[in-house]
Amino acid sequence: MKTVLLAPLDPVHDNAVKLLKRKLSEAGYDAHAMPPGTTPEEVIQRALTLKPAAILVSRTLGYKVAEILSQLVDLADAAGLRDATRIGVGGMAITREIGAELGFDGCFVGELKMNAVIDFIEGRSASQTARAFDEITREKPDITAGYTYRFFDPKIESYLNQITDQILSAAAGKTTDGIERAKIRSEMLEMDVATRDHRGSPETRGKLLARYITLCDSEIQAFYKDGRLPAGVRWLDRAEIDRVGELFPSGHEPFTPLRHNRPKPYFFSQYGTGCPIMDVYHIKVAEAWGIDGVFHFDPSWNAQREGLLEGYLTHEHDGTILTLENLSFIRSFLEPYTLWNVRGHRGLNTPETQVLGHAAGADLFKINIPYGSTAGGTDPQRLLVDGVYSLKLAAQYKIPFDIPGNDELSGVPPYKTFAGLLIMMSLGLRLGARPIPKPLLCYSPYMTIHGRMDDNMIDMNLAKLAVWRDIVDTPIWPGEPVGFMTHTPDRVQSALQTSLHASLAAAAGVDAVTIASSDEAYSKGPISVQARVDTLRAVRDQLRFQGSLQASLSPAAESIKAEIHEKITATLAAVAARGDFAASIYEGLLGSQDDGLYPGRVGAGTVRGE
Amino acid sequence: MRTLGFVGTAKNTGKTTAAVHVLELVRAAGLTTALTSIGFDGESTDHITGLPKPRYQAAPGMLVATADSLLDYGSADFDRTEPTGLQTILGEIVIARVSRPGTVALAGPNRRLDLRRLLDRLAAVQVDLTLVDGALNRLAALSLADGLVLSTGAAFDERIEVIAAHAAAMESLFHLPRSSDWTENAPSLVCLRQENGRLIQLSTSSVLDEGSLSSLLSQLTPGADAACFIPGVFSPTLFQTMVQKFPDRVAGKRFTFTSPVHLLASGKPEIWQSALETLSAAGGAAGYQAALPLCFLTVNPFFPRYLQKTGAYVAEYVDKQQLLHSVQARITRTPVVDILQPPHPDLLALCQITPKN
Repeated sequence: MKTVLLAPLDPVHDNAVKLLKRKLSEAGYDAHAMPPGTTPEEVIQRALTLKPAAILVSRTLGYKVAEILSQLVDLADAAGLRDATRIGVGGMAITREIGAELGFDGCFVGELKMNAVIDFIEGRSASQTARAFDEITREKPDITAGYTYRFFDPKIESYLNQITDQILSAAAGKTTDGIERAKIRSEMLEMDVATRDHRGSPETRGKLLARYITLCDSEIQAFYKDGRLPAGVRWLDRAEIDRVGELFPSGHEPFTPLRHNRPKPYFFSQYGTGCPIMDVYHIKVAEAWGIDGVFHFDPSWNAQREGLLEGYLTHEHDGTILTLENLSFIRSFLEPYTLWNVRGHRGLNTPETQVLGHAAGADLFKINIPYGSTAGGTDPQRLLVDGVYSLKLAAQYKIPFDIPGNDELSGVPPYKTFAGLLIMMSLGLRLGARPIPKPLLCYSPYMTIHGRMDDNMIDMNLAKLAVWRDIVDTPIWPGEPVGFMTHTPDRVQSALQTSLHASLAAAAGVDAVTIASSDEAYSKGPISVQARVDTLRAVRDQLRFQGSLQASLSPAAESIKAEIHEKITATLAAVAARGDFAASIYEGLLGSQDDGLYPGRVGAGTVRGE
Repeated sequence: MRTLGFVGTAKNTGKTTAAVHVLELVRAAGLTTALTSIGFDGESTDHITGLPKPRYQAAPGMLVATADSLLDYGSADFDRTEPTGLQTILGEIVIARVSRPGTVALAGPNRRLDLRRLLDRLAAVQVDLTLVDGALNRLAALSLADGLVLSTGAAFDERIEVIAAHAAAMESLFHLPRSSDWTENAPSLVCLRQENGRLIQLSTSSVLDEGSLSSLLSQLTPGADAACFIPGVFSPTLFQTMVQKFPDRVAGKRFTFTSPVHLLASGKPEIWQSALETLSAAGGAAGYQAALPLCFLTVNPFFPRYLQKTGAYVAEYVDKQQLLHSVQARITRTPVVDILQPPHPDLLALCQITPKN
């Protein structure tokens, strides 16, 4: 058993020393703590007796404190202790440079990380720790692992089977320009001609691209034929791209999750600043602060044009242009364990997005036909056909897909949104894919208009999560992001609301949570990285505050849950009875114009026979 | 190879300014020079005060021993780096040869054992002189140097009389004689050799508390001569207690300490100065296993003043003439200079450095 001597070298404060003593004792060390007010001479004399493997000093740095700390080091050296005893320091304002200047063998900067302390005592280097940590304890999580997708409500399962049959029947034998472009992209990938700097045959690329261009809108055709870029878009030059790599040399600190003591939920945030380089900065910051996964958000116009651009492109407005080059560039900077979602749930390029996302290494897709064909603006008939094809791709690629329930933001009651999520789940499962529903924790128009959250925001949100456990054995991932419509331009308020919603979801035992930056709702443009850290920090603290507490439903929440369950059943019954899924959307069965939802029109009349 | 160490009484007392100045002189003298630090040096602003700091300018051909992570920290370029296997918080120490002049950042070995290993390596590559920058008030590792330059000033204390008294006390400790009692194969624990040759060994290398002092006192027989060796550190307060309360036991005893820096590292030099005078008066004596010359002493009128209102430090100065003259008045055996107040005596000669050209 190795001996460790702990010294505060502070006249009053020794909390860190006491904490270390407990944790080191628990870890099997013979830890000795000296009281506040101990002098460097007393510490060294004790060390001469104990002959510890390490002396750990905790002290907040201020002027003239440095001399006290260096006196300890000097005494240890002069007393001949340093040949066998390592001396480490930690405390507020301590940095690695100050630690080096004071002569310490190690220093502990910021939050106490016991693995780093133990590595120091054992004489292991930090880089060894980081490698070991990554190799042994941090693997890319699978959110769907362990779920059977068994339905507990046979009535709902029966309706879903009927609706799924209807959807597959409606999509059978149909195709669209979006599907055909996806096929051409797949072919280009197979022939190694999918990028501008391809290594395949120029003739092959020329032929495939010519076919592709005929299936695009005029604006996209102009890009390929005449090199004209859409407004607000420019090429990234090589120097800009290469410089990013130099900024992120290999090696990183061990991953520190936002979670305190639970294995779940995993936390996600979106990026999509418009510029892939800026996206990389945001992702690296988010990773450093403990994010588990990120979403690629593309510009909204991307969903409303037939065809995608290609190359390294940056965009002066919100949303990063979805090209294979941009996606691959961003992906190359993600840590191996960071989950990556490429959304393609709502537009005319949904199938092609799955193809490119898969080619670039996506871990998750995002597909939702009811949402994309209403709030997303795409024609229901079109997205039904494209969506089915996309789900087949997700199954083929073995990539789970999440289903955002953001139509609630338009005013749709949760039971209708949830009915749509369940339909997507059933459809995906039938096609062999793995779905993840995303009930939205928000203060939606429906709630404000009907006063359903006037008293508190807990009962409704907990009921919205709990109802899923009664219906199906599925992962649950509240999004997108949580706390939507509770946020204000005040960053403190915004971060607080996000953290409250995230911790409530964690207490309800969900699998993943999407969180916003504190300026996401009111940034008037790309979000700032500081605001991103706001919520990451707030969520971490809220989870620490809450620990392993579990949420239980109040009688009011139980009542809401039962009501939602009953109305989901009724909604699915109505859709099943209608016998035509696209028509159900057009006619508002999953969200009506009274609710604030209108069927999308982009891509209307573009479905044809194969 | 000679090794010259630069030590200070506190942060911001001017040791880097002194080292940078000597480095200029050495460069002009044509010596092959290596540069390292037992702390971290080379930053343009102080870590704590945020005030500007002097930076080392390295010339082509000079060797720099620093953490590998700091090679890009300055404007100098290097054409050859050799790993040493010595680790610091900031990475492995490498020996790098300067190919293009510029500023360098230094973080070298911070403990005596590692400094010895580094100096051995530098000696093997035909370096004439190694300058070792100290850190704050740390001294122990620099017991390996062939000579020291000591810097003090208003950053240690803003009262000139206090600076002068403290500096004089420190300086006085460098003048104890070299002991002939414990020259070779000195033990690693406190030892007492009695007149009859009997060797008594305590269980500690140092005397820093009442218990270890009692153990030592119990072995000091009144009326008998003996040679005592302290390989580690001895609290000056306890030493003073010993000589004041037990003059009969210390009479006829010759105390050998490892080096002056071991005394300085142990505590206040003023107490040592007083205690050693008391020892002498009681018929005892003190000396060093290895002498370490103090080449010269520098004074610096600068001190950082903390402004509560702004939470920032600003540069302030005591009267530089008064400071220099006050310290010179108290120290007569060692030259005292203000690097920023020339002319100076021949500083290289004081450091026993012979120019090559």
